[in-house]
Amino acid sequence: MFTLSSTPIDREALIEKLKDDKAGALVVFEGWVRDHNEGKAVSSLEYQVYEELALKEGAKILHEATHKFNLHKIECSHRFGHLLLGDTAVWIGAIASHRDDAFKATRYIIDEIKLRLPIWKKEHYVSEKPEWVFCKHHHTHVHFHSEDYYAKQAKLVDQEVLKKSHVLVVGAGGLGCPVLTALTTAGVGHIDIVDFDKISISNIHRQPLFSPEVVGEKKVTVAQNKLSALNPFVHIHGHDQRVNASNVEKLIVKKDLVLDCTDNLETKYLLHDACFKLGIPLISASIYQYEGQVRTFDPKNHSGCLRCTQVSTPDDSKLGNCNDFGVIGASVAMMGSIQASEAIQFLQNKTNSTIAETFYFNTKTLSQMKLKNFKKAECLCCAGEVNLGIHDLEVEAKDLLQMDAELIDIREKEDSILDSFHNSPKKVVIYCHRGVRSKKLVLEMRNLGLEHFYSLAGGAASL
Amino acid sequence: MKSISVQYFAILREQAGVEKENVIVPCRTYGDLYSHLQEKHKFTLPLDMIQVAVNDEFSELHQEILDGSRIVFIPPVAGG
Repeated sequence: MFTLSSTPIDREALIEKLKDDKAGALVVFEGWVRDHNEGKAVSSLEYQVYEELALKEGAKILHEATHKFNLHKIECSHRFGHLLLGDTAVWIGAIASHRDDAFKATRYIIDEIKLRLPIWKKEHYVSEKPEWVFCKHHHTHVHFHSEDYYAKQAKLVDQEVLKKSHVLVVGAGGLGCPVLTALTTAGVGHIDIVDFDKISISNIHRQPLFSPEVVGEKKVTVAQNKLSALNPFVHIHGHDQRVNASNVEKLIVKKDLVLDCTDNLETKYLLHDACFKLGIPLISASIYQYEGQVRTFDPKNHSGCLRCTQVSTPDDSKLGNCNDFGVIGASVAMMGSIQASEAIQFLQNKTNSTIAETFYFNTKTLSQMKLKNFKKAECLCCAGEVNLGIHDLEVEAKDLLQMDAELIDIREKEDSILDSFHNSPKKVVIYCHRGVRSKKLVLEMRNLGLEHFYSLAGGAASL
Repeated sequence: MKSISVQYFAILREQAGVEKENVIVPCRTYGDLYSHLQEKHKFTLPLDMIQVAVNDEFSELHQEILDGSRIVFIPPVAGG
């Protein structure tokens, strides 16, 4: 329960209220009145509070913490009025089954209280006049106006246009972090993030939304919290999932722009094809060591697509990824910043510098190159005639049981063995040694309109 | 024989060991040229993964080589 108190906080009474046999940990945080602030000697403090709002917002914070961290109970009390050195200004106690949740919850609660509660502080000094202090972490929403937040970009952007924009950022990694940070602080009103990954220690050198203490947590959750704190005037929404052929349309539909910040060709081509199918603009970036590229695709602009020059999806396994070839934070941030800058231009003007040309940049030599995109006259993809089924060729061994499918071993057998399954009422999963030949065959089946064939990812080796 | 300036990108640059080179070849199309250079430099990427740009514009691999043109071979780039 959240309370406000004009008299000293009774710790023992609060702890008594928390007692519970389910709890394995109690973590208590106390904020005290200290004798100095920013070089001045402090003698006492005065807190003023807007009670109705503070009680409501305080209760909301405790409710959020309970759900986020599996708490059994929380007690929190904030003082107001005149406080002396050493007095307890705020008391938070959280109980949970395990200590980790209780530690995180108290940290969360005090940070949110400082940010969101309408409580003001006047400091009385030993040798100077008293002063209402502005603490930079204090109640952002109450004190700041969006006009001030965006003051330095006002001459360059139409803030209202950005505020109404809704974008989807796919991937919260090396490209995603700078892209998300730039779009959030620029004031893009609605930003959805999709990522399925958890934070690992080797991500952080190029993904500065994350820090070592959140290793193991979901990227979307941490990114959403961090970005919401960076700019309280925008709405951030995380989707904890892997983009695939069955959810991609739901994710991109009605967006003004999609940003491809992924690290593999399969997802890049899937996003690309889905955007052309639904007519959604897309900005895609990629990096290989020091060399990066950025390109904008606008299905309405008739400046070509990837399928104009490459009908089949290139295979990731022949290429490797960041883990294989290495990546430097500064280089990938550079490409992400260009991608974000192109996004802001596009949202405002419906065009930008990479719509007709692909931009290449080398961060080692600082050389750049722009290549004019190629548009094939009769490209089906450009016309929106896309079959997303070609991105849904494989199933994983772990999903076989619940599929109720025929499983066919094609090792040492001719392709024609599949002829008798063309009219099968069940799904048919075929496998070879490694899953390469079977995938190729399934693609051929799909091209014949046979949608019930799948290939086992990894082949017999994965069984 | 055609005289062409070829520039490489990403993994191709690594495998070629040079950023640019001038070649004189008997090849007819850009695809033939890639196969020719693939043998020379032991490129691991198959032809169907490669894009070609001719005089700063993307083109198609089956097009006939323009004598004296500046060609860039670009593999797909996926990192992020």
